[in-house]
Amino acid sequence: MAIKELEPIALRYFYYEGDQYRRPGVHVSLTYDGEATIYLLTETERTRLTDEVRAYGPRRALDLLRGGTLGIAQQSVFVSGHPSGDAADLRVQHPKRRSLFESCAFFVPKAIREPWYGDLCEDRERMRREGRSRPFIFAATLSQFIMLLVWWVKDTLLNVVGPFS
Amino acid sequence: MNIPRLNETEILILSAITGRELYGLEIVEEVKRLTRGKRVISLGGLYTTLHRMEQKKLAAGRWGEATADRQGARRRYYKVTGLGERALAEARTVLRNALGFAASLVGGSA
Repeated sequence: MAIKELEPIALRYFYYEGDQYRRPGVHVSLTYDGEATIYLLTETERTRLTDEVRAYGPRRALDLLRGGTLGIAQQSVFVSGHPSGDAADLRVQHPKRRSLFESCAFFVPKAIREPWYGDLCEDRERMRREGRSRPFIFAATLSQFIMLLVWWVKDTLLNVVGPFS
Repeated sequence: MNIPRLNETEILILSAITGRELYGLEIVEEVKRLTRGKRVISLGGLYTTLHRMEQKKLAAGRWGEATADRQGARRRYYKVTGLGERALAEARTVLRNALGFAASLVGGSA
């Protein structure tokens, strides 16, 4: 089932014994648009969350958890399957770490970023197969990255000043 | 509907995807082939231009498959729309007239 077709918000409680990534205690996983964020809760917070979700509906969880009213030690994981599956599925996944590239390209729309990144990976693979050196591949990648930023900034500026020209 | 004016990059991209559906790297290769290597479009330039062209309804894109060597990123395939075809035809007419006029001036002064 595609992520888009899922119920947008799903909450699930579980007790986690803790490891290098998470502290032990009661956690709640908030799944929203295919991404699960796991929050560590106190028992009081858990009761309040349950009560408010019951009273105001599941969207209330977004306000309380994402707004920082409840929960600490937030960590994000991506959910590849249906969020109503076993909570253990979430526990074994490591939190996704954002690379420098992802941070820098964050402001570029996904319709540009994703296919551009995929093509860049394919191109790097092709260069490797052709026996290009690592510095050459690095320079080619860097120049593509700079070109993307230059074009994106130029395009954005044109969009801003275009109506006045 | 007004037919948008095209810049050189847009003309090259529309020429490459006319009558077929291609993704980024194929478009870059096709542009290189069409211009006999005299024009090379960077991937950044290609995708920002294609994004704008989609907004102007000159090209239509659809998501394709994600392969292992793309690290999970999907391909995006593009094809020209009816408006894109009309804009390309108009650009061709304008350029042909302008270049014909320029050629006649050069020919006349020789």
